[in-house]
Amino acid sequence: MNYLPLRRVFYVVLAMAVMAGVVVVGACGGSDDAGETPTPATPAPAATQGAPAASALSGTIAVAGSSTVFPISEAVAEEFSKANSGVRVNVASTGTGAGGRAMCEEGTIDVWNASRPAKESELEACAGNGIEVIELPVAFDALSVIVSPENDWAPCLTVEQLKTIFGPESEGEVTNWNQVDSSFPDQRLRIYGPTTASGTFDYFTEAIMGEGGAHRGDLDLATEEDPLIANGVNGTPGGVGYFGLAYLEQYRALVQAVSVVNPASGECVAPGAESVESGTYLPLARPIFIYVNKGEMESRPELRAFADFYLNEGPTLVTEVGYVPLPADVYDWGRDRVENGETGSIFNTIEAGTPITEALERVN
Amino acid sequence: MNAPPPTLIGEITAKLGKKWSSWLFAGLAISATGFGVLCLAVLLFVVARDGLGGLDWNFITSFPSRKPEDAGILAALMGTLWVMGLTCLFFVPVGVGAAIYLEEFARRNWFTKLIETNISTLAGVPSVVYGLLGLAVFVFGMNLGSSIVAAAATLTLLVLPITIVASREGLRSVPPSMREAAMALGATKWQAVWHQVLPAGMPAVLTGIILALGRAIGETAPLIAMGAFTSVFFVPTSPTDTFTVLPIQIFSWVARPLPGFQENAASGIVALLIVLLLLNSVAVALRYMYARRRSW
Repeated sequence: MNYLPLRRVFYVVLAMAVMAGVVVVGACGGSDDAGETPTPATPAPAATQGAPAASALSGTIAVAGSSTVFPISEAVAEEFSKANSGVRVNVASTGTGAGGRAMCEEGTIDVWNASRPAKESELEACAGNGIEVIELPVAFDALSVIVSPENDWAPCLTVEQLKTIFGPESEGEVTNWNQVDSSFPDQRLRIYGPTTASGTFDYFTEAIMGEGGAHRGDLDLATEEDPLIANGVNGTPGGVGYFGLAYLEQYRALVQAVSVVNPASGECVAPGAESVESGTYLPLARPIFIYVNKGEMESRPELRAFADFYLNEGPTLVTEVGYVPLPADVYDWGRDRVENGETGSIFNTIEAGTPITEALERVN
Repeated sequence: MNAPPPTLIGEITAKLGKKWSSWLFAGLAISATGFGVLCLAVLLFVVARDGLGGLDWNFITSFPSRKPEDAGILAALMGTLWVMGLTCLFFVPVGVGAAIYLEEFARRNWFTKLIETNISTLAGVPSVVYGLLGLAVFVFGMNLGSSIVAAAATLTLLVLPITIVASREGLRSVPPSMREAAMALGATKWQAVWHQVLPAGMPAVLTGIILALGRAIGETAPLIAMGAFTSVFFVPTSPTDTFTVLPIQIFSWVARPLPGFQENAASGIVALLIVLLLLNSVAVALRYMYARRRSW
């Protein structure tokens, strides 16, 4: 009864042929619209393209942590691997917290990507295992608040107004734009945002509400898919949401970016590379970090080379992957820390929303 | 005599007549089959439309990149082949061996019943749980790190229950008369199993192996849980190397904003399907060979 007659084999072959046919038809259909979606032109590759430097370095470098920092570390790893073919680099996107455990408790990685400064508890865990880390700020991450293109009443919002829109006290209470400000029209408020799992959520709540995780729970849509946030806000006149600044350029046609009043100067500041760099787009721009294992770095020349490469090529690559580079003296400061082997976190003592140059002055 | 209670089928039969109701049922069954095939065809069509164009030599021989047009699957493809190769080496002998023991040698007692219940339960455990088990036992417990061999061991645990269940079905389908005939001619139990039962049951055993391979090759969650990397810039050369696999690479591309990466993801899916079909075609060829040799 399990005998497999030739006829059955024939049917199996026939079915496979039909599937193959479908695939081929699909491929033909694909070549038509391939031209409609050209990949965006990317700027010329970093300086490392050229004669591949003959490098005698070897070894394996493991990088893991924040999904926000991941694209930068991946780009650095890509260029570093081209320049140093003997070194084997791998990068994982596990989240800042998991990266901290891998660095401090498990000791399985050499470089930790972190979208926030290391916590005191994490540094203690590191110290308990004899691991010291060097903190290097590598780029700015910035958030942008977006509204529907039909919104003509809120080109600029204050931190207080953002608190009213997104704060936990507003849950079930604030449902109309005219409750945010009496000058705003009678328009149903519809809120789109990331889920509690994302670094974007953590950062937004810290910067706006002053407390990580403080957020209303009755969003119209909470999703990790940025296109859904953009489309949702686009489709509803009273829509408002936020996501990473890196995504804003891509969805400019769908949504309007809201300027945010800088609490120090009282001026409306539009999100963008210039305002982030100049330190005026606050509190929604923050530095992001890598932490390098100091002991490993001093005994393994390839890891030292990777850290140097990160600081030297970082500014170019950071722009390419959609983030904002730090002021040049911050990278210089990082190079000093690598050179002198200075460990520990400076940024975990500085409140979110402090301009980075001011932060550096304060610690020096 | 009580009349049988009215049933839905009974009522339909009464209204339509036997012939029509039989056609109706056949129609329902055909549309149920057609639905599955249609979904598969649409899925293949969409993936192929988006992905086949990008699947060129460059894509296969490049490492990941921040630029979608430069990005490739070399590290992920090699990682997948390494992991699947090692997984096969682990799960085929253990799975088939366990099936032979349970089906041919084990006595029916509370202990084998306990093992059987456990195996069927394990077949339904979510894969991420195996990932955490792998993290605790292989990555840390046996200090293998997030290596290829730890991944293969984790996936082996994941697919063992399927393999054992399917292989047992295969061995059970071999008529007892074959064992009896072999033993009547003086063969030991082991000789009867090895020379008669196993070759005869092989087609069904191989089907189980195909199913297991299909499950293992697409797994992402357990490998992420045990610390597999996302972007790897070298080809693994030994079982203790760190690695990434195609599903993780695809998942990473899908989550990115640049549209070029979505096309890369589609191309990666096509590559994954091709690898799976190639692995399966070996098993299908073997199955056909064994099926032809059978002559009862």
